Amino acid sequence: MVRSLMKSRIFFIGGGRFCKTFIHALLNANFSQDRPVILGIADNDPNAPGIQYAKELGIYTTDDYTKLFRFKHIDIIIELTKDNDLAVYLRKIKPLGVKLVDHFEARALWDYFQIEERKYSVLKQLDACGNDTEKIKDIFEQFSGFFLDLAKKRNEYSQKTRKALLVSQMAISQVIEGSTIPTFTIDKNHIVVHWNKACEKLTGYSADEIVGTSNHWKPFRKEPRPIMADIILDQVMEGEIDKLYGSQWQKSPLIEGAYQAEEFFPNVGKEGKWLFFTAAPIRSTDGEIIGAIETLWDKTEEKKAEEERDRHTRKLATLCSVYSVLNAPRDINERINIAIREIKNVLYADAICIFLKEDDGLYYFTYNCNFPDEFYEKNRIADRDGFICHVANRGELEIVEDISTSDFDELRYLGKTGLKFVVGLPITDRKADVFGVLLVSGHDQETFTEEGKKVMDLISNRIGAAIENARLQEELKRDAEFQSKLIESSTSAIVATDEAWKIVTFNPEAERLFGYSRAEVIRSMDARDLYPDTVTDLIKKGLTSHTDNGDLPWRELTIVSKDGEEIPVRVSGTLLIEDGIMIGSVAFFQDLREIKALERDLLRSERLAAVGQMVAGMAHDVKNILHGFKGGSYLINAGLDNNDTNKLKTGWQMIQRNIDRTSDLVIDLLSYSKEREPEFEKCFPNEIINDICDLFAELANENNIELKKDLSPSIGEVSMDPKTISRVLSNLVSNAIDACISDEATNKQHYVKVKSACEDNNILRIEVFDNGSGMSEEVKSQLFTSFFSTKGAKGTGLGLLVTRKLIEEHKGTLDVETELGKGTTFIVRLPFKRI
Amino acid sequence: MTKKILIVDDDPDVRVFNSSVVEDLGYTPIEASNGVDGLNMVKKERPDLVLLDVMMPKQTGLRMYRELMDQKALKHIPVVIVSGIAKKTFLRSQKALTEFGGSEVPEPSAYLEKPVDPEVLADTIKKFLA
Repeated sequence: MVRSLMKSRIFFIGGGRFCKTFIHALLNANFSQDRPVILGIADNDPNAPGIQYAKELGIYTTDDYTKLFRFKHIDIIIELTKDNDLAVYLRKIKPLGVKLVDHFEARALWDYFQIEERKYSVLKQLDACGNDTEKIKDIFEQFSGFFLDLAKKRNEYSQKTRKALLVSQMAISQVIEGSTIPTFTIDKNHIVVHWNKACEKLTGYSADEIVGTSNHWKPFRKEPRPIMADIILDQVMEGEIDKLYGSQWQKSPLIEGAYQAEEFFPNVGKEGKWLFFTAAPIRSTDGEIIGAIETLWDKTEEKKAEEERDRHTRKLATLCSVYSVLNAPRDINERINIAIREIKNVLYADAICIFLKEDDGLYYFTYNCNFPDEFYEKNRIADRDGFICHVANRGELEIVEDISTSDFDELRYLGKTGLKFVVGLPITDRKADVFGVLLVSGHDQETFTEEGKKVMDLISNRIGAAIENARLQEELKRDAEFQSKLIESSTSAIVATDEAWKIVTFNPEAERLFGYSRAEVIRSMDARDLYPDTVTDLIKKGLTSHTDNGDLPWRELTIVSKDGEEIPVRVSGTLLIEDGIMIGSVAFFQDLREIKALERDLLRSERLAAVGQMVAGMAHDVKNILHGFKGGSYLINAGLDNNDTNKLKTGWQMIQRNIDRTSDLVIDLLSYSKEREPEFEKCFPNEIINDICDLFAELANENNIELKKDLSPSIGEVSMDPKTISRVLSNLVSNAIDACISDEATNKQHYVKVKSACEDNNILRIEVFDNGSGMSEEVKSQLFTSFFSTKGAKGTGLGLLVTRKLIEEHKGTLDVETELGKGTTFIVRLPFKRI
Repeated sequence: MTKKILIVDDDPDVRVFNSSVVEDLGYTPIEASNGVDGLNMVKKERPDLVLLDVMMPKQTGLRMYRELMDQKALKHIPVVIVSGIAKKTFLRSQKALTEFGGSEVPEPSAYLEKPVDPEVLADTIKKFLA
């Protein structure tokens, strides 16, 4: 109605204040692009505000409303005179096709107009306020306040009018006849006395048909039954009324002895009407009830508007509660589950669910409200060609009004469970990327207005933001929890400070190491008082001296505990810098007291530990060898039984191989477990290196590996243990050749290079490089653990351990540099004495 | 067609030994020297039984066993572990892997600790294939 009003040519009769307000609003409406044409305004009073206003706008004015007939095209006449007779008269004389809005209807029209206007601005505000929950709440509160006001005013106005009318109607039947309110009266014999024009118009039954009969039920009911006026006349007991009207009726708050009710009459008018009817007794002067009067009020339009309004308010209220639920400090799953239940209510949906995209790019059925279990089971992961992915890919809301004929299997399946329609809404993140789909479904065919779609869009936006936020929050929370657990359980002492060096983190190990309790230091102690200056300096420098891989450098320093004990520690730390400003510092301390103590008898205890490991590790190795022996003897037996020389041969080879493995293992074990003092004697290290290289030349050659040497002539004759050199070097060269053989890269020419050099005139450095496969960090970290071998059955896993032991006994060091795919260098440093 | 038995072991001697036992029983042995090759071979050849070592380079038997059990099409194939590792250690390691985020795996069909008597090996194989 309001929308068509905006496209109409309108003539106003009655130019009061209301007329002015109405015209102003019509010409300045926000919600519509269209503007009505105001043809003219008629009023007896040339100074009436509406007339004055029209003159300013250059609109035609007159004191004679019949002038309106001069206009050829009039769509609507709006009568604002409050003169009931005039409205009745106008209705009679108005040309066909022209709509008359009398002052009653005009009120309603004005309300709808205002609602439309407000709706428009609220939606606009909602769009503008984004995630601001407070603002959204405000807007809703204002909106519902507006409705309350409107309803109140409207009620007051109509009650007032009705009351006035009823009072006068009872006296003067003339008024009844002329009233724009459908009214009829019956006498004490239930015979209809009056059936006014408005009543004719409303019911479609003429006065001629009804007056003088008791057929006043006919327009309203299928079967004869007492209607409200009859009930009043008969003074029926309340219980009886309940039988007829249920709980729909009530006593009129305005008129004594009157009842009122509201009901939908499907037989009245074309599509049925909502009627509000009031029946009151008519009493004679001595108080006896001599008849009844019933007024009817067509509330159909209003009811529709009311429903629309209700629905709207409910939508907005739901939005509001969805927002607050989504933002509530609850678990995200709970929040979303509550939210989808709310949405279900507002959308008149019977089932709602959410699919969310996981890292693998698939959409998983994540939240379900009322979809059948089988549907859930079948669609835990949305089909790539299904409806969910279709909506996600298109990124737009999609409505399927009749799913039983859909192209999508899963929708047709849903159709079989009794559901009628579905709506798929993409859920997007901040960057407008789709990461989920909201699926709404219901049993009743729904038609979706633009507005409904808008609301759904808003909701899915909201859910998107909420899920995104919540995920971030959870992640942060998890990270934070994880970090704090990490700090708590760290075996390093961790001390962190704020920008003023006040201690903010002090974990249990820090308490133990420094001897201060957390309570003594947190937020009260300056960390610089806790640390020696050396430590503070280190922390200050920490950031600038990051090593290449981002690790902080570690230093061995001494701190002083609360009791004054000097404690050797490994320290690392850094300032925390953000945007060039120090926001805090953090330092890590590892207690070296135990380590230092250990170091004192390192060799001994390490070996003890290694022997333990060795026994455990050896079991596996020995078992494999024994299995080999068993296999060998089995084959030999089989060979002998069947006179099969091949089998005999294989079996014997197997036994021989395992004898070799046994002796390797035993030799390695012996040389590892035996303490051996290096025997220093005069020797030429380069010559020993040459000998070893010659020894391996054949093996290298067989495997197409080049064996290179780069020996420094400055070394000459020195005093050291030649057996250490030869044993160490043969182990390393043998390893290097194995590394080349096992390298799977076929496109390179493999080589092993042995380099000797003299350091500081008292250290022999031997490097053994191979361009084999190199080692992963994992392999590197296990290099020196006993029985670790990458060579499968070939290695004993003791070679490097033995090598290192020999070097350490010679007071030397063994280092390794390796890069996966590039190769490995073992660097041996052995001190010697000049002769 | 004779039944196929896959032998997965990095030690060539063990492969030769186990293969001989299998052949002498009248079955066809096929061989792989690590877990990765072993798994591929199972997929390709669909053996009737797997003899699986645990300590191998590239991929250990622990992992290969889990992957077999994870696949619907393969989990029914009986797996006999033949290893120098004690059964207790094997099960403890599997439990640790499960706790580390893997799925629960059943115990292997049989467990033989090296060194294995050829008769025991033969009886075990017969038990599953007879």
